[in-house]
Amino acid sequence: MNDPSQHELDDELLSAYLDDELSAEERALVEARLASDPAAQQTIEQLRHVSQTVRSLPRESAPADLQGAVMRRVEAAKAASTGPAISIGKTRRGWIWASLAVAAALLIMVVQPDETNNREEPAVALKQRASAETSDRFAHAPAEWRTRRGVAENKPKAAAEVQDLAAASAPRAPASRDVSESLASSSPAPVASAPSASFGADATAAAAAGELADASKPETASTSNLRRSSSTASDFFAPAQQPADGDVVVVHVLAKPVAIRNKAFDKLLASNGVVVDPTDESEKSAERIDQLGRAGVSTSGRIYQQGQQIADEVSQVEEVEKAQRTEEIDVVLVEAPPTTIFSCMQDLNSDADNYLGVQVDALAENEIEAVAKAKTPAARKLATDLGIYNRGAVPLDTKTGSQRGEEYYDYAKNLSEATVPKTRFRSGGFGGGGVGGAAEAGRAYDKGVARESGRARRLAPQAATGRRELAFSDGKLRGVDGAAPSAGGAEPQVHRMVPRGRARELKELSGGADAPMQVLFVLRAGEESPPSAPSRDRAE
Amino acid sequence: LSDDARLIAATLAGDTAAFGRLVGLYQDRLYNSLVRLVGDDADDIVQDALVQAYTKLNTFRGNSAFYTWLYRIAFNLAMSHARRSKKPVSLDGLKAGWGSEPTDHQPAPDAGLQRREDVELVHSALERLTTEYRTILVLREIDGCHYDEIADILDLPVGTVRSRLFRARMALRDQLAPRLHVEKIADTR
Repeated sequence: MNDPSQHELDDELLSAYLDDELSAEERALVEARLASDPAAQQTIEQLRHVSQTVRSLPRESAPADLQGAVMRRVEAAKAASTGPAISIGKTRRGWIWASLAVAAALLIMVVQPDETNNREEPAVALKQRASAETSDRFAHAPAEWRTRRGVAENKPKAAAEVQDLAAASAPRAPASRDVSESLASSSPAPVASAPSASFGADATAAAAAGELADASKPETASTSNLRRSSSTASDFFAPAQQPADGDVVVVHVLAKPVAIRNKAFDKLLASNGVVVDPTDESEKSAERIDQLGRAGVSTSGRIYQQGQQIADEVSQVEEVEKAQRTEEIDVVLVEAPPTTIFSCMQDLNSDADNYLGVQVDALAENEIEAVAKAKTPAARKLATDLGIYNRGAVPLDTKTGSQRGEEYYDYAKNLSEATVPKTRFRSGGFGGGGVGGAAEAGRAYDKGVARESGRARRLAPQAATGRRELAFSDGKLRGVDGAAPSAGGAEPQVHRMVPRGRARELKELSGGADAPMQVLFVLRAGEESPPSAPSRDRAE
Repeated sequence: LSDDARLIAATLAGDTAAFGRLVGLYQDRLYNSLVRLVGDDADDIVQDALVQAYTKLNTFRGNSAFYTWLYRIAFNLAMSHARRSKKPVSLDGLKAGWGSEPTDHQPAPDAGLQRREDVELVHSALERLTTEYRTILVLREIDGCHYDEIADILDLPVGTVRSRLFRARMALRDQLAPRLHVEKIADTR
């Protein structure tokens, strides 16, 4: 009684005594206690009562058709199974296709006027950025983006052309649906709603705007070149379901450090059938970089430049990864159908043991709207819908960010630029290796014999931000110099059958959309224990 | 070779009918446990678990009983499922048509929950527990698993099984107390 934990331990023995799970010594202790302690007698009676109550629940038999249903699925699985799925990075060909897809995605980003650029940037951030211009390997990209936006604003025609092109190519090349759709869906909105305030704020951009206005036409030509190649890529990558090429929804998670260390998130993903692609094979990433660069050459010089940039960053990341294992942050890009993403979010939401807080698109108030507008409608909706899983507080400041006072990198902004490669994940994930092509993959998925429900790639934060750690400050997630890399690691593949009931339920939640979406999970280590979740099993 | 081992070997050799026999052997037991864990989604989860067991059968090493292995798959599925069923885990399907919570019922006898209301009460009490508690109670009380089996299935140390089971029972006692008149023997410590 004086020592509550000792008391609980004693009572725990009572419980185990009931189950006959004690050592002889412990049993003797308990029996001695029971002989003399009325409270212990009472407790054991209560425990026995509870135990009997549960045991006396009526037994339920499996539904009559269960076995039949299982066997039908087993037969289907047997028919569909073709050995382990090929994964990006395992074959040279995979990397070539991956590179093509990345190049295509980069081009999409280049031709796509981006609303996020129009967000009014805090003067401080701009200044900091300007001062860092020379060392910032990303300095080119934002400048380019700003000018590009200028083009879009000044010459809506250019955007319209892109759109037309996209529309025209759509019927011809259904496989490149993602490309055309994304262009079609994201082009008009930002142009229409672009505020002009921030445009003027950037002198470089203003100056370059006219110059680039002319450049936009040749560029659309190269778009069509790329589209031709990307349609080939699409054939390989995503036959049935292609993510809308909108912005990535960002989910911020405050995780216990141990959860990050233990890769709890990978397990969460795995339990939802999301396979984490290996990212720790440095040779392969080198190869990828190589391919990326070449793919860039073959399409456009600009892409090449970006490819090189990414190449530089990736190799830098590898360096840093070797050097540091602090694992304070983990950035994982997940591509999966909304149902899967919802189910991951539910897991995050309910796992208070590992995750202290979850916030979807946790940006500063005034940013949310702008960021939301930049998204494709699907991404916007997803972000809103996922909001129901917000839980706890994800602190919007961090010691690393604000105390160091180093220049910030506006992560949220750059997220929609070049930081997150608009990865095309291998399509085979949805159909057990893509054996029967798109239709078969879709059917297999419906039948519940899909082996994976999505794919994930761990991004080293530095890859996105150029040797910068992500940090919250002033309500924004930013990168800050000084890297804390996430160690890339491959979780063994977990095959997951898609249960019909659950699929139904999640489908309702996610509005029935099936096209894979991309969500960037940013997990930060934190220590605060959540105020809620009183009934958790914390002492273990 | 045990029956299980023979059937597993036959399945791996391509005989799906052998797997069908395994399903026949274990489906009721698995279903009975899962129905207490996830309610009317048990059907789906048992199916998923069995199909998954089939596709992963070549990874079964025989270190534990097949049933334990199957359980591990099923409970992992069930736990992810329970987590994602928002809060609290819905056992609504089982309660459908049972009416609202009775407040004026008579105390139930300890042995046997003959009355539907009592079954419902125990259900809703279980439902209010955390998934971890519910899971361990089901494994122990419904399935009669020993601590080491539970440890194996849930991938926990035996000591944790013991402490968690104790706390789960206490939590369930607290849930049941006002309902099944456990307060008669309420904690007076």
